[in-house]
Amino acid sequence: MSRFVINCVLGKTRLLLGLLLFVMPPAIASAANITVVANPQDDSHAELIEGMKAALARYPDNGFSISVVPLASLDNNSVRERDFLDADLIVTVGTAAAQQTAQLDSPALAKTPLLHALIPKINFDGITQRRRTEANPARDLSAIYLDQPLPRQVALLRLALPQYKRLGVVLGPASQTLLPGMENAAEKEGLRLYSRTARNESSLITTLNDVLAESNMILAIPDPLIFNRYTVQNLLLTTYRQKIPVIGFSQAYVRAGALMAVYSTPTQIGQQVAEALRLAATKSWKLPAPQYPHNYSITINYQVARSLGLRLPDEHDLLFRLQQADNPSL
Amino acid sequence: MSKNTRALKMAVLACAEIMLLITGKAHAGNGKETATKWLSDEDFLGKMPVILSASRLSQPPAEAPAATTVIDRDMISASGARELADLFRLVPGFQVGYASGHWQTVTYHGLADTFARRLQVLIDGRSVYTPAFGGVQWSDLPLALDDIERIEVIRGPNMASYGANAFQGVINIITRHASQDAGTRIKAIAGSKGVAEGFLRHGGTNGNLDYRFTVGHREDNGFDNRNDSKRVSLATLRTDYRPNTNDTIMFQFGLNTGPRGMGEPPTQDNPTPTNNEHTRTVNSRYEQLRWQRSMNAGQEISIQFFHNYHKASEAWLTPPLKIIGGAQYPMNEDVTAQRYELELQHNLSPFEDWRFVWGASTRVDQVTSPTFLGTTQALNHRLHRLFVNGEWRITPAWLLNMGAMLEKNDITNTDIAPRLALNYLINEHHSLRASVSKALRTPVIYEDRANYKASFGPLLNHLYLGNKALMPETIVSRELGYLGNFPAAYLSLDIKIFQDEIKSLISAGQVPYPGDNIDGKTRQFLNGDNASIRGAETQIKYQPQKSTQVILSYAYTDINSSDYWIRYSTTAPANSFSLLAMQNLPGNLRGSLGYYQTDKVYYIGMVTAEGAGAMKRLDLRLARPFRGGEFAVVAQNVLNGYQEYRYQNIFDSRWYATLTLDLQ
Repeated sequence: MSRFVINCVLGKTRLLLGLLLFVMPPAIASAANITVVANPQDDSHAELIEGMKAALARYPDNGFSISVVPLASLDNNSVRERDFLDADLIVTVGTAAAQQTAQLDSPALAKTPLLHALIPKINFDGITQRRRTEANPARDLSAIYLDQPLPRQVALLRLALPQYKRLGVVLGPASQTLLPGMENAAEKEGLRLYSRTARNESSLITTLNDVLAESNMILAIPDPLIFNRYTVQNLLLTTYRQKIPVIGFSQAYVRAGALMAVYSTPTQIGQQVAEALRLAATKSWKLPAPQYPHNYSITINYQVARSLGLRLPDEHDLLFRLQQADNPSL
Repeated sequence: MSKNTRALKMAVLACAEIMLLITGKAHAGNGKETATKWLSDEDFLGKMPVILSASRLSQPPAEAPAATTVIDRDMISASGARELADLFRLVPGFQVGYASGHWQTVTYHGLADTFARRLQVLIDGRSVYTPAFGGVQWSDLPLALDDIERIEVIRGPNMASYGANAFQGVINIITRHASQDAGTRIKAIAGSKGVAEGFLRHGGTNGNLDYRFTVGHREDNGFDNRNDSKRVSLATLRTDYRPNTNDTIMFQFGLNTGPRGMGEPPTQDNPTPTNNEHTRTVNSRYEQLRWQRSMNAGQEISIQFFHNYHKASEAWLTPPLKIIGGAQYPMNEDVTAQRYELELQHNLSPFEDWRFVWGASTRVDQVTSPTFLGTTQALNHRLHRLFVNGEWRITPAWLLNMGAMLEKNDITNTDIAPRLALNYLINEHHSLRASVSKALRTPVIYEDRANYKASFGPLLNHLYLGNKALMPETIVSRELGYLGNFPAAYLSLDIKIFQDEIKSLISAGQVPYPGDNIDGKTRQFLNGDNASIRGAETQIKYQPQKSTQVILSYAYTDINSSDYWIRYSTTAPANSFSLLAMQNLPGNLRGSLGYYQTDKVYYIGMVTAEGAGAMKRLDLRLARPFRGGEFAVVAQNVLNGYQEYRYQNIFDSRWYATLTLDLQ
């Protein structure tokens, strides 16, 4: 079931790329108004907006007019209706902007499509779930996630650590839903999956130890109940003591001591937002389905690799191989 | 005794207060974030501190410039050891001897008396060998076994990386990070020979502060028929504070106090020993502060300060002595030893193939002992040190490790200790190593400044005299190593062959002393014998599955010495062997077994008749973990009794039981 969903997402990705590469989209005639809700003080948000603008500017027919509404002005109830009324499409950056914009229930805005960028999939699912139970079910809603698809993460494991076959995962109450997808991804890569669910923060290490007893690598999964500075420290120290590599989900995680991670920078996500905008503009603002980042990077902590006695390939080489595995048409 | 109890009480109160402060706050500030089920974007985009920093990452054995043995927590628990010193029986080439129930000597390749002076011993980067006599007073360390994360033993000299006194080897004890022990642990041990121990540990976190404290009490009766019992009151505190994502400030405090039994009973040969049975009261403590900035896993800078304080109060009256008309002579062996050290260290990796550690330190060792040093004044010994260690990966298969230390001290002035190691990684599973290193041992304060005399009215008996002209001892060590992994057979293998040339060994030799009107002689420290040590060592690990492990070590050691002043050639066992096996058993039981066998060995200072024989010892442990704890039973030496260190110390069978409760 979930493999089907994943294939669909991948299928759409391919289609989308195909469209971008081989079908010249019709020129965008008149100026399109895009309103971006973001926190300009946040470096990642600023970076995403820059990345989006730069990507749009690369096209000679760039007819997009971008206006940025600071997230703080939504808090103050000083929303300039006009910014939203004129908008053909609203882009939100980050979870907070998505949550607050989704709550703007002015009837005049109800039909404006919303694209949530830089949002973890769990959060987007939370927002759409909430919306379904609320008034405005008709609105066109999509997202470009912040996190990486599981098959991509598992493919990285297989490419980087081909000799490791026992994958351990600790889930939390919120990330439990990832289990079927995880099982599929592991099976596809020929790995045995050992997963346990920690009920709360204090049982994380006990649960982790249960998983460590069976596995020889750990894929870290973000979960609001079990992931914070304190638990990450504990997780990294406990796994390192047993010389078991951890695959993180951010650049910072790898800096902290995880072996490696696949992640997308805000710039890369900004580029994808630009692609989605151009595509939507040609389809009367019909948004593409929610999608994982297409562009991503790999980071490896070579000092940790070395200390674990692992010889890993070069980051670029590994990224190239992952892209090929991820998208054989490339 | 009452002084110790008071000190402990104070420590407990202080810890309790800190706990209240911290947990009180923690409860007030918690709960908010955990209520939400949203992921924070920051989890993906935010910054995080470097947890596995350059100083925390250990080198893979195949790339290490020296033979290394790691004792991890599984091994510590499986060994059934109750004394830290016993763990070193698992390390090839190491010997452990109990001069008394609470006085252990741990040495590598012999050359030891009640103090083993040629090892550097670090606990979290804090050097703990005593500045007075050299060697470590293992029972006096403020350290609970359960707080140890792992012990890395470097078998061979390495002053460039580990500092002064890393002459024959290094014991590097790393305690657990405060965040690893959340919750409360209560542990009780009871057994034969008067063994009774109790520990309470509590750890937790509050915002950016992780903390842990341990309080405990330990006691036992030592060997039968000897006055060598110990009572230890223990308190330690560790806090790790992160003001931001790059910086960590660690603070530690520890205390170990209590009485120890000393002295000899009267015998037929010596009915009135001047070293008759008495009590020594130990007050040992330390404070340590380290600031560390980690830019990434390869780059780190740290500044550390610590202070060790060790006071032994030991005053007693001899039995009535004929020589002074049947009077009792007041003896006093009080010693106060302190060490202050400030150290800067910088790890960097400026190019992909290069890694460096360099640093500098300055320290003051201070000893006060009216009896041993002949003055009521504190004597100081200053030492400044500059060190650099570089590692160059010439090709993926070849690794060159170079290091040097420059030391300037009050006693022997300026010395330099270089080392060079070349590793060849044949493939993923096999590697070779060749290394040559030089190291020095600067005399300790007693060797430099001893002035130990006993006067009975007009009679003067001069016992020990220091020597200002002493040169440092030197060692040049050459070794070849092989490391192999045989995954199909679940085996890993480590072999080392070595040849050490040691010159100018410092020993006390009998020399004329005109002022002495009893025998006209004293014992003065001098650079006497040379020794050449060669041998082979191996450790083999067999691990067919996670819960089954067999770790075996064997060492052959051959000491050739001029043996003019001291019979150094007999100070290490020719063959020594250890085996540790762990296996999960049906019924959720965990079994383990430790077997130790060594040839005859002689410790310096023992008269021949007192020397200990060969030993064979089998220890067994059976543990039953349950939810929130563990119950374990340990039997030590289920075979026949053997002699530890000297013939009076019979280590016969003994047992104890441990109950551990972990409260979340």
